[in-house]
Amino acid sequence: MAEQALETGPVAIGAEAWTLRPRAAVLTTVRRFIIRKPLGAMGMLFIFIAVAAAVGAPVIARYDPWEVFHSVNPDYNPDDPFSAPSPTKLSRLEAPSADHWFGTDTAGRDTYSRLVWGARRSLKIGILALLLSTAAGTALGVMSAYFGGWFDTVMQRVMDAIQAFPALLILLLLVTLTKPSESSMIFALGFIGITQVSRIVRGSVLAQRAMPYVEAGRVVGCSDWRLMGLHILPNIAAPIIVIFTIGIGSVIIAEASLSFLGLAPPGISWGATLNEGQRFVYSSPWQAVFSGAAITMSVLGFNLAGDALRDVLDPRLRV
Amino acid sequence: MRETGYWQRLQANRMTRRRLLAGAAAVGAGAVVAAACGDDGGDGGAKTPAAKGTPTPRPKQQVTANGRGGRVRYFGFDALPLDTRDPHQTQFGPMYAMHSVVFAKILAFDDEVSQTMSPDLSASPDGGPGMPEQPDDLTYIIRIRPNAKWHDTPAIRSDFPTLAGRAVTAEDVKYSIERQLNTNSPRSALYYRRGHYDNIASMEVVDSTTLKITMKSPLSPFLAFLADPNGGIVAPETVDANDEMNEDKRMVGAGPFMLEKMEPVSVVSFVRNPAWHGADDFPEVGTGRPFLDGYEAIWTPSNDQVNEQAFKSKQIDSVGFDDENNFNRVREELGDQVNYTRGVGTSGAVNSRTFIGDGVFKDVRARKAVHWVIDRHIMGQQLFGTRWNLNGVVAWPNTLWALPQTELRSRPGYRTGAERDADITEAKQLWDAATGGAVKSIDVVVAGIPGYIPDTMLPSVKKMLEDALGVTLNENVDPAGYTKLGECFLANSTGGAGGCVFSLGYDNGWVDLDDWVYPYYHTDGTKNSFGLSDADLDALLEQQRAEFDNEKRREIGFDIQKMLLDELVVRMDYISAWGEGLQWPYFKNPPPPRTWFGYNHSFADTWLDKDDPSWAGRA
Amino acid sequence: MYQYVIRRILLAIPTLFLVITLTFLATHIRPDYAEQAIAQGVQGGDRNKALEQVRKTLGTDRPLIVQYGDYLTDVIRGDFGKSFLTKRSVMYEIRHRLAPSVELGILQIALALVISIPIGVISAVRQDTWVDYLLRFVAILGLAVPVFYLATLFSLFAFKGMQFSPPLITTAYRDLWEDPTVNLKMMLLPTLAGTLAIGAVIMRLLRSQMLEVLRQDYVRTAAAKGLAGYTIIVRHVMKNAMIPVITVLGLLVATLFSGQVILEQMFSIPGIGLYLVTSLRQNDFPVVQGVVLLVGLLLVATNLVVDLAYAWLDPRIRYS
Repeated sequence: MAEQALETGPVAIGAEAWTLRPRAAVLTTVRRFIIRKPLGAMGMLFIFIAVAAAVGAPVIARYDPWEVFHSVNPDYNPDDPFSAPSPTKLSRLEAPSADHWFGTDTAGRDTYSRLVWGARRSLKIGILALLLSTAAGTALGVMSAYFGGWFDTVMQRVMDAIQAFPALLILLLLVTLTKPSESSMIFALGFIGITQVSRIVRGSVLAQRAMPYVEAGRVVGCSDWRLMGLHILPNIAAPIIVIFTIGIGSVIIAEASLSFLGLAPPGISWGATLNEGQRFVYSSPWQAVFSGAAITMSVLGFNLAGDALRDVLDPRLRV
Repeated sequence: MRETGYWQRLQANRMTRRRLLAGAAAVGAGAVVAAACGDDGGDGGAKTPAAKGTPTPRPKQQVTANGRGGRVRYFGFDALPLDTRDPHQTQFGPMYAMHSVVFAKILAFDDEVSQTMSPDLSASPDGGPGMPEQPDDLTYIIRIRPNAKWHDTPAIRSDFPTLAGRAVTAEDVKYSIERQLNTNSPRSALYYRRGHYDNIASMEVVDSTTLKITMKSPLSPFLAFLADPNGGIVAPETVDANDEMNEDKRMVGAGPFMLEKMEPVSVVSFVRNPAWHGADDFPEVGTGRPFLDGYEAIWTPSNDQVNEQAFKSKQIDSVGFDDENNFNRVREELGDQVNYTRGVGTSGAVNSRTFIGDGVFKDVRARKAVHWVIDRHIMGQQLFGTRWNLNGVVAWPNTLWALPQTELRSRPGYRTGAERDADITEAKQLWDAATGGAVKSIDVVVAGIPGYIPDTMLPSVKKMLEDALGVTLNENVDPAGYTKLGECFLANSTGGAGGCVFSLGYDNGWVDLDDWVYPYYHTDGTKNSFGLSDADLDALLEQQRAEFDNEKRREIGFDIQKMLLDELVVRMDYISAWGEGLQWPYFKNPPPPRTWFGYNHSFADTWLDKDDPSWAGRA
Repeated sequence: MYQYVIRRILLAIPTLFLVITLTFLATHIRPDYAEQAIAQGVQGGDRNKALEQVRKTLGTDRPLIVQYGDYLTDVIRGDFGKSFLTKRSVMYEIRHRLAPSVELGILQIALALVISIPIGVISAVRQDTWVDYLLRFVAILGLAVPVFYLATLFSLFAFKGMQFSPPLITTAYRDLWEDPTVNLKMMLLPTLAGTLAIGAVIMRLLRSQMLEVLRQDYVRTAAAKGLAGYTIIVRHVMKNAMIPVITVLGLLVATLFSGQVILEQMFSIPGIGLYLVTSLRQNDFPVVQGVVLLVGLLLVATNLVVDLAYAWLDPRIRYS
């Protein structure tokens, strides 16, 4: 990661160009980013796809995710209780086709449409949880580093304690004690994320505090809060952006794990779809394979993008 | 049951544990069938009258010289002791499974569908197996097998020195019935089956092995009650000061197997009772039953991948699958190498209860509207593929009592095609007439277990109601399963706070008609959470209890069901699943398909054929 | 060194208390949900009476601070209560399920190290070649694939492609020393599935550490002295690059446990993870609390050990 400082060269891409010709600079930046960081660009693309699916679900999904598909049942025989008992035949566990790109699930619903809608839950929980942990973690990290002393010591111990719980465990505990809901999951995952954010922010602020501009600010009589908010914070934006991006990936996995265990709140979720598909993966693997791929691709997207952003913005950061 | 007593309210309170299982069992419709075999399960019509039972022949394979010994292994829900181990104080399926092999009963069902039964402890005058003598409709003379002994192991000898190996007496039977009638017991509320016995006028111990029971009035299902899963005979020695026997060590019975080890949510295992009274009752199958050294019910993985691998590698001897596609593929792959069995179906059923005392469902038109627009055909296929059938009041697997499928298929809510479209239109009119278009949403309490209820069923039902009636369901899903449902039913029954107008979840399955209807729909019924009180219905319910002619009783049962389906509509009954199973051919005389838990006693005939070619590779 | 050890241990004590407190708060601030579920299983009286009874039995009717005091005493005595389901002490239940989980964890870490160390080294030494890119991509992919997806795919491939089926009934589990063949057969797929995520972390860290060390003057000196490339990498570079890897192992235990919960349940391994999920489904609250607390304490202890090892390996730490 340190080596990339040498490799990347001009760290703030297009910083000078920006002031000259903004529009061309953006294009140049994008092109240079793609050339220099093809994996990062791929990650951005995956994120774009996931976000597009989440935002544009009603348009992109081909059907209502709850729509049940069925046709006429040729085997219907009302006299035999053990033949197909219904004149309609549910389109159940069908293989991919032109009508159903990713096949259908056990309830006769379109898997593609459900995965598109599933992006909403994953991204919503991922982004909101990370907003929470970034906001809280940054505030705590900045204060911890800036004030130091007993406040710092206490915060560090608290962070140690929180970090002692695996994320999934906290989620499981939550599920036992309350009715699981999206908001409680966001809160729990955001809470767990605070530790990492605050640690990294604290480290960065410690480095910044030694900088002359902080001293200068103090000399001219800036208040603590002004210094922290207006001067130090912008200077540690890079690691915050990076950890925000990468953090989303791990929250998506945590949410999927809980759904996979069947303990998440009801609704359309990639983890739940995968769990359901896993039940008949030997017979019709489509649903499991596609749902798993959806989770993997979006997490990969955030990880790749995060890695690339780190290389570009703050190569020394270890996340 | 608003005017009912304190203890009855308690009974309703206790309902929830049992209900949880009801759900769990259907997830493993396969698992129920996993232990099932026999080819004749499907069409069990009325064969033998229930009221006056007669032993039925058993076409089973005779045990071979090399067929004795060994332990059967299968996946199931048996190792879930969520409730008390006391056989009289639980209605929880897995406990039933355990009780059915440990405790002997007076009679035992050979087949719950046709309600055919065999004597268990019950003896003929010569001491061999025989049905109770019925000199008249009010009198039963029950003789106990003179060779019936309580279990005898070193552990039992040290825990209960006077009990180990002691003969089972008429006093023990009397005690087992009396304790359930004892309203002074601190556990009195948990005697769910008191209603089975409170029609008894007197019990007289004629001699140590003869008990004479006199009824107050004729009670047609009484013999079925004696074979009920709660009908186990217990010894006074094993009951503690709290009138309870909720410990593994107190599980001392006179049944074919003895409890070896209960590891909750892992495994429950049983060993052969070498001194079983029924050992030589069926020489055509073999003497010295049970033939197995024991059996292990391994906690279900609820996962078809595990089911498939464990069965193919002979880690388990029989298997059922949750998903029919998985089952069909494996069956095709294994072909003639394995035996195929079809289960009779799980009589536990998905349904919705309403509360008619107040709120939107006070108006029967609103109940009808909802009842009509729910498409059982979509629901059935979503949950069980093609392995299901329509349910009326009595679930379809109980073909002796259930309204025939053709009757159901002609009714709104069960119809399809153009008829259904017309029903929906009419339902909408009924709904609007009942609510004045003012009701836009209904609160519903939903069981969170099994997962397909909130995940698949709820959204479908929501969509059906939205599309047809323009009404939304506000769901309250209980991730713990059945806690909230239990609370709301209790509140509905007692008029307390926290009631609910609508529910979605599993209900238990039963054997005799009386158990299906009387407790639920009688004004004084212990499970009447509907606020239902209908004099005509009550009369019919009383009438079927007194009717000994099976055909006539069945007709009364049909009338009751039609009345509930067409006029009262307090419960929306949907569907029940049936299951299929595969067994390795070395697994001989496996227990026949069962509708519910609590009938494992037929493991006494099961044996493992070590000479069968399929035995190779079975560790 | 002793001073450092003592300081570090003293610092761990407040963390331990905080872990206990957090578990306490999580389980006691809003206990009504648990109470109601338990009240379902209590006989006698109406609903409110049952609830009252449950509160009394659980002690949740008393002030929070009093409950906290009792809780602390219980925890210090190692008393986590009794499982509702098995009626045995939670400690007993956990103890009897610890071995498979610990074994699976160790196997995963061991395999991860075996795979990721050479890969990390190769990737660093061959920096910016196609080998490096490929390995790095695999590593970052490994971080992105959920363990249950990988396990599903592995089991699909092993069973369908290679006709391999492990022992899958919980009763078939045998301890390693009892029957190594059965044990390892059972552990094989979950170990493989769980290894990737951990291996990826180690590989990425090792690679960046290697690159940093490779640029150090002493490495250049060693090369100038004419030492063989192999000797430099193993004796000088790896030795130093491995130190942070050891720290990260401590943190990985948390990741490991999350994976364990899912893997044990997928492969019927009778460990803590499977037990936890089963208990959750059956509302066995004392067990859930006990496991959560125990894992928390275990992780604090692991971090302490790792820190101490770190200090022992890298003298700069103890004097800073």
